[in-house]
Amino acid sequence: MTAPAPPFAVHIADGVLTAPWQTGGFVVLAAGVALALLKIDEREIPRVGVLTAAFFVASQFHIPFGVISVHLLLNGLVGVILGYRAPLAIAVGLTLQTLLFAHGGWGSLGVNFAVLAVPAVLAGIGYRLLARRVSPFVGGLLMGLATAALTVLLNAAVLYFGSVDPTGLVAGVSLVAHLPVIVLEGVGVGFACRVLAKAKPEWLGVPSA
Amino acid sequence: MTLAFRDTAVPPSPLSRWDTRWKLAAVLLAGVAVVSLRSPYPAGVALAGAVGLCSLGRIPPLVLLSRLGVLLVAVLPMMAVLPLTVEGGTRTAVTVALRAVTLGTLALVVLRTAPLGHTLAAAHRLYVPGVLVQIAQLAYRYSLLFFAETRRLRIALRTRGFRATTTAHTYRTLGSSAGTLLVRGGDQAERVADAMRARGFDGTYHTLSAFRTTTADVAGFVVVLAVFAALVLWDRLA
Repeated sequence: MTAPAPPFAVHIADGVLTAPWQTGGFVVLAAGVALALLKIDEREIPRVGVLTAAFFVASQFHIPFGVISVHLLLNGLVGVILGYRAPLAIAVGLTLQTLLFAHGGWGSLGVNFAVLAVPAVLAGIGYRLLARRVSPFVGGLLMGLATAALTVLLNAAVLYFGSVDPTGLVAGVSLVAHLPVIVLEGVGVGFACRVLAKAKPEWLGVPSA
Repeated sequence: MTLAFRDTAVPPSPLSRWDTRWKLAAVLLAGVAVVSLRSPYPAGVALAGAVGLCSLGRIPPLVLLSRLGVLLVAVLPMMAVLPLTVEGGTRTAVTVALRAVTLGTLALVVLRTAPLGHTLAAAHRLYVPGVLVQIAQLAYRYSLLFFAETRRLRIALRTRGFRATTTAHTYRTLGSSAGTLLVRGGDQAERVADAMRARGFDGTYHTLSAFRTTTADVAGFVVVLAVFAALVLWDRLA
């Protein structure tokens, strides 16, 4: 059931971060999940389950980009659809990715959550602000680009300030290695939003196209 | 697009008969102990212990080797950088790698010695919120459906001559396919949710998984805990 994880995926492996950062990550994880669980209605659970599955399987889809292949993050799309419930999907999805694919790490689970969930929640807010001004494709494209860029930057910042490597070399390499993901994520989320705006406009919180 | 995911069977073993609640608690506490290790020798023994648990759980050697390979690839950047940048970096790199591989191997013990649904039910008994357990179970189920649906979609695309390359057409097609998958998954999820509500589902988590503690379950928990606590003690005294 395992699949190879690229060494510089936006999932920090175990042993890379110092203890205070790992602890801080779990504090953010607990707070994020607690807030996302507030007043949740049982009717929301199936949709969160579907988006969790989409986020979980996204790491297994490798898409060609020049001579390399990259996988989508989809935290932007999860944020656009689930809004402030997105941390639930990301927390469960990351746990399943770590358990089933050894993608990420147990000690770094909290930090990986923070790196992906904070941009996702912001994407939800941003998309709703943009929805009436631009087309679903452009809204999705912008949110996909912004979310992926913020995720990659946060990931590099965590590696720079919180990893056991004091030189920042791993953080720098991680930042450069993820640049293709930003472009692909933007385009992917844009097209996905265009389809959803036609077939499931209620998921995007906007009126039918 | 490449895919590598399937559901797996659990082989009968002493670990598959171990009450999943005690097993989960033991592995979680062992994981906490592993995270706190600072020296390579205790970390190496911890890895040997985790591999021993895999052997006790009759996890196929190929599955274990594959997992070890994935974990090593994930820590490769740190292993390459630390010896060049930090004094005593080789020792730190080896410890980091051993800790990471041990944690991943312990996770394999949880994953391959009980069905995932049973493990999630045990997690609920250990006070993981029911909503999170339900989302995890639904996500696991839907992910299997997503993979099956993706295979069908991929065949449909190929029969129409589609080949994934670095072009706008490829990204438009793949993005639209992702949207289509979500729509189909969402429709299915809503039908399942309606069926669940029709059978009285009100958001409360229920499970058919039954748990019964025996002396052997507690003994297993104590042994694992004692071994990993001894490793932490050795680590601190070394």
